[in-house]
Amino acid sequence: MLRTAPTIACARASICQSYAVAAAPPSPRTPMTSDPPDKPPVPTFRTTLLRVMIVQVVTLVLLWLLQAHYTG
Amino acid sequence: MHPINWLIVVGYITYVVVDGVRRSKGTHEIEGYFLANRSLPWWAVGLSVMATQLSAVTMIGTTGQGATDGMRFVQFYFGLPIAMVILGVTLVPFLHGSKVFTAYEYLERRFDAKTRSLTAFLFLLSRGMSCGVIISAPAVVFSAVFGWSLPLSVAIIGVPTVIYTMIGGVQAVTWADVKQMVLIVTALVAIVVVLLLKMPVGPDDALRIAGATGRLRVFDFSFTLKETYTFWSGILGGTFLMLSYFGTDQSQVQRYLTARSVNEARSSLLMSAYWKIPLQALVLLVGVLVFVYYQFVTPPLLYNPAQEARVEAARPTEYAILDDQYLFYQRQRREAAQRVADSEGPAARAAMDEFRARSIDVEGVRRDALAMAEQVTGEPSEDVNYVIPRFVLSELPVGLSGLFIAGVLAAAMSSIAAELNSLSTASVIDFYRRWVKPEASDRHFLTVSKIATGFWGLFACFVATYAATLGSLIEVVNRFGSFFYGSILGVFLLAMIGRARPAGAFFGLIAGMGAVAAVTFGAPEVSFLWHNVVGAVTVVVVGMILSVGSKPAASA
Repeated sequence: MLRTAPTIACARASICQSYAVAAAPPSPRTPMTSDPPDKPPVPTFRTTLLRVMIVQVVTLVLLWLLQAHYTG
Repeated sequence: MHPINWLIVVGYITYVVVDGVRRSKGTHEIEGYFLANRSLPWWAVGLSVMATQLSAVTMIGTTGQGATDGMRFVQFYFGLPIAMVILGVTLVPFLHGSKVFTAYEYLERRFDAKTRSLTAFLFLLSRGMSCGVIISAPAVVFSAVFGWSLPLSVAIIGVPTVIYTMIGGVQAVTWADVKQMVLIVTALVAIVVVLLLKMPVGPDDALRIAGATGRLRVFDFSFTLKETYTFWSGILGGTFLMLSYFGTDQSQVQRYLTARSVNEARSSLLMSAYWKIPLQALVLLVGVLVFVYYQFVTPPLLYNPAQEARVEAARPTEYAILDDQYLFYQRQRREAAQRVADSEGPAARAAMDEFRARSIDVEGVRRDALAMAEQVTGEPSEDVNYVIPRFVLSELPVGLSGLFIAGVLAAAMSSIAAELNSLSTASVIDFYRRWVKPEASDRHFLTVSKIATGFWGLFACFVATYAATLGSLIEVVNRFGSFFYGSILGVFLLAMIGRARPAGAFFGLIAGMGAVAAVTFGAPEVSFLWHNVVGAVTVVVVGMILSVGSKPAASA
């Protein structure tokens, strides 16, 4: 079975070249695996990234408030 | 400890081992054993990533650090979310897409066999040692608190972990990690609730008392290379460290290689990005609240019970005098703390000043007692790792202390299991299958993998027993890891640059380690977090210079 290259867009030629390496046929001793069937939807990377950033900002603001309020 | 607590601890260990052995069914080939046939859901992988990073040192040492030093340690993790995002768009697609077993296997496809073998060797060297320390740290504490011999403590932590990792492979490791994370977070939250309920002052007053001693100071914006925990060292040095750890360390890479797809692998890493800082803040907050609790309930003068007994036996009169002084100052500090809680406005400011002065008195007596302990025992007397275990065993209700001890064991086991599994993977895939026996049946490789897991388990237990006698080894291993991490990251960064060549990668790696060695020994005052930056930058710069005019990799 053929493997597919990662679907991320290649921003630069050098990165594309490396993806080609990553997606190159494996050595004969590497076991082949089949891709699993469709699973329940996973949030897209961009959605998750946005959520991560929101959680970080909220956490840092809370820690800052904790310090500002209680440390004289 | 109460029999019900023991029942909880023994029940938990038995459950993890039995469940791990049960999960070995269906693991008949090497890809299932090491990578769960790349079939695990992102949330299980994400919890496993977090559990691997959260060791018993976190449960015991970091909470103790919160009690003695406050919240500022959380800055160490500020670079983690940034690193996760960078890895999500760079190394994760590379490694997951190339269907490798180990991160180092990818380096041979990109560069050559010697670069792969050198990085894999460095991984085995640093991780093999650190695995021993991960067992050693809680074993030493359990040994002192429960009066067990050190080999017995090591065995109680190490043997069940080796059994379920050896038999069940990565499936057992990951699903045990999921349960362990749930147990750890439950134990931490339960302790916070109990502390707040038992405290004679309200949560707001408790935080005011903690704030008066600077324990709620989180951010330090000073730009100094000598201080380990600052905002900038966390953001810059921490980012490089986390990039290296999560991007190139097989114990972490192997976790997300088990995910079903690239997208799920990224999501699993981002789970750590979500929760690491809040979780670490919770861990430190437990310590801070224990500190406040001990303003109203007199803690022991020395937290390490074994050390306390030896000092009392060797110098009974001197120790009794110190203890009397301690009780006197502690009573004064308790009254001052109560005044902080009761007063408002300018009176509160004066009360805080008085409380700080009484705290200095108490800490002075503690320092004298620790110095005496060091003279009597001839060992380092730093007892920060014993603050929380003493509190848990003497102050928490029956059942909850058992839950916490089980949580500490869970944290130790989850980290050790992941390390053993990854050490076995690198040994078999990067050395045995690559150099010794390239062609053999899956059954053969599976047997060798289990033997390798057992070997590394024994090695780790041996190192743990030895490491316990060297008080500062934890710091040595942290520095040791930072010695290699940055340089290894540099090689992986080179792998993503199309013009980089095998000679550049190999000699760049050696140059990176040379540069870190020069900084380590030439400027020892520079915090080890910055070593990661130095190593990575040197490898990339030297590697690119040497790549000019070099031949491309034969296979690329």
